Amino acid sequence: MIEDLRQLGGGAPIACDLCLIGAGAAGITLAREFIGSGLTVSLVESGGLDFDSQTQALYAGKNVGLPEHGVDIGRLRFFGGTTNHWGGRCTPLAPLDFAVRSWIPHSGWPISRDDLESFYRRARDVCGLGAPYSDADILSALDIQEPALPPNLLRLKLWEHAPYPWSFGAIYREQLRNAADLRVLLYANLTEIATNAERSAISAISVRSLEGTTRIIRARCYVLCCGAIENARLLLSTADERAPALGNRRDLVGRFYMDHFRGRVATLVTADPQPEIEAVFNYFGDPAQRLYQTGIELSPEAQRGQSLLNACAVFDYEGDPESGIAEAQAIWRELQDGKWAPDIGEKVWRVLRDLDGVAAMVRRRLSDDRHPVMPLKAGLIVSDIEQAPNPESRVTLSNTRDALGQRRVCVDWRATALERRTAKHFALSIGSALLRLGFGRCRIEPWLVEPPGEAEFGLSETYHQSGTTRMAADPRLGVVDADCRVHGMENLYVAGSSVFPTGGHANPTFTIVALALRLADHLKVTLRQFARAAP
Amino acid sequence: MTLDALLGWSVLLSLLLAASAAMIMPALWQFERVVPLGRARWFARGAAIAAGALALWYAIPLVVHTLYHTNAVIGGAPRP
Amino acid sequence: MSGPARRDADQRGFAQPATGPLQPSRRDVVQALACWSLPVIGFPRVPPVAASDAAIPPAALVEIFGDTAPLRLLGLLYLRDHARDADPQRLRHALFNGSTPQTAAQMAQSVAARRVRDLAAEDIAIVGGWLLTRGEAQLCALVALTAAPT
Repeated sequence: MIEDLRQLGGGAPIACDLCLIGAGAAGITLAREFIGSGLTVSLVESGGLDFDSQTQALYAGKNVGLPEHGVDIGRLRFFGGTTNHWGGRCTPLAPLDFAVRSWIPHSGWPISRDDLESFYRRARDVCGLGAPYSDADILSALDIQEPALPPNLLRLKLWEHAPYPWSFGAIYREQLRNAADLRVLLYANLTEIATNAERSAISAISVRSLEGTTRIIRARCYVLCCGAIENARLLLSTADERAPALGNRRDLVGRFYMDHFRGRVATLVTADPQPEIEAVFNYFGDPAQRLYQTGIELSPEAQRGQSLLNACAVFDYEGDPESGIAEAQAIWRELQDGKWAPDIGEKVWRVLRDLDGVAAMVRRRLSDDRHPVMPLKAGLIVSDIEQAPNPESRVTLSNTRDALGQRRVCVDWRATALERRTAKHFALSIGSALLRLGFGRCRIEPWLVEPPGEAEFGLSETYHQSGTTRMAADPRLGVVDADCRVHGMENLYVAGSSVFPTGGHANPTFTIVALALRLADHLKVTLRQFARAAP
Repeated sequence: MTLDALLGWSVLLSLLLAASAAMIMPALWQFERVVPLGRARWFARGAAIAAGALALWYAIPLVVHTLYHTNAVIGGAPRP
Repeated sequence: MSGPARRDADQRGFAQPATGPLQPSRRDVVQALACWSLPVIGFPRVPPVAASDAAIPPAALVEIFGDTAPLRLLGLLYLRDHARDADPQRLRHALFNGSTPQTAAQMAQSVAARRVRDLAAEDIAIVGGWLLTRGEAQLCALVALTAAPT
């Protein structure tokens, strides 16, 4: 059932086996796993079913490091969380992302890619991906000719896309509403955590609406599922004069804040009016309406050999505005979607002005059956660069307070020299490869070519926040253990990207879901043990 | 509206009307042989062709969408 | 700026492999012209060269590239960071093995062959951010040193 705390009013404490705080990708995935398990679950969400600005304003914080708009506009605070504007791109973290990499301090997960493999397979259904196929099969079905990239440097990267939009809140709302033993509580903000005397277990939490309605929730286990920034803020808020924050004996909560660095690293131009490259690196759809994207990634050999972070790139094509072909293709694409293109009048006129070019394209299309490609003005090479874990890049609490009286966050996002070096090497590798393959000529972004310090860092955030409650087997090195349980706490867990020790280049949602599925399996066992042990 | 848009709309409208006329007029001539319309035939022809053009405006996207699933390149900028 | 003929769709890149004619397109010139946006302060002053020292017949250059001003600019950029190559003799030797081609076809063949070798050896230069093969960059440098500004 789905309830509104504001209407529920105050009352007796809510008792359940499992309390999930945050209804985003992690929280909703966890909740669904317990449907039919016989265990009672409360899923607590700060917002409602739709966006509202008052609740969203609770996310506002201070930015003292690199510009990070992910603090207040990158994350969404209502049912479904940040999946409400998720682009849907799915790929697992690479095996090397989990390894200790000697050239990247603080790298290494306490689990391996193999440990997550079965959960990635299950995550496919959660993310709407359908049955798995190999990359080779997909490329063959899409009729993509894999280019001869230098294998010691670069690889073709294939992403699958969830059907767009894939908001977990919209997709799973009715299932959660109808689930027995599951109680979704909206407009409920976590404001207080009560522990036992040793501060080794949570005894209860208090949730409050903006209007002041309060309820106590008592559960056997609690899971924070609020995202990297909010998970850190909630834990840090448990500190008082007598004791450090929960899980923070080593001052690690909030540290190692990471996001992917994204931006243009190079521009490709080509003399070919029908650029082949568009038929290789692009978005593609198959007859079953499944969406894929191809791009380039740094090979593990290059990362090891050159001591680099992981990185990937996609191509963002700018059509030749003088070309009627681009306009004709735009009109055709919109018709395939069942509608006329906006500004159809202007498009038609531009097609007529370039009728010979359009006719030539049609002739070519009919004779070769080649994929229709757009005459290029330029191909912008947009890269996602992994961030090196940096303890000085961190989330702390500011002295300002929100409408609930809770301290807001202060985000100090920092980069290291390794991100710039990775971006430069990656851009040069791509440019050289494309030149050698005859796809065209690249201009590397000036800020990558000029000495550091003389040019502004040309990459910005992607809203892939992670790392603030990192996973480590050794409590001196992390906030949660390999089961995502907070070190030193019996019944407090963390789900989501805040547990990532490193982030690869992969969009985090797919891994968030896989980890949530793994945590769900662990919690089912743990809760049954708790139940047997309880009087 | 820009001049380019005006010109483009004129061409598009002309094409739709021409296609409509090509499809409708033979049938309309047959009809007029059976039911003489007198002076009203011009109005009837105009109305029929206009209605046909409007029907084509809605039908063309529907038909293309129904017939053309594709492996084609879709394009588009990276999403967050 | 005069625009050279648009390249046939089957031709790619800055220079064509030895099998076909070399005809830079509008795009290549636009690429080169991107260098116009860079400040000219700081370019090395190159001494004028006597006509008898001209490395490449100007007519051949114009036939292949049309407007040579963008090449000259690229060459100046290259020489700013590779002063060692500011020697027409050295460049002639590196590009043409000492025997300067006299016709456009000969030069195209020579440059194209060098391009293929450079790409195989991954000998790439960064000139104003643009990736050129070493031979392409040296050709631009030679034009900068010896061809009169157009």
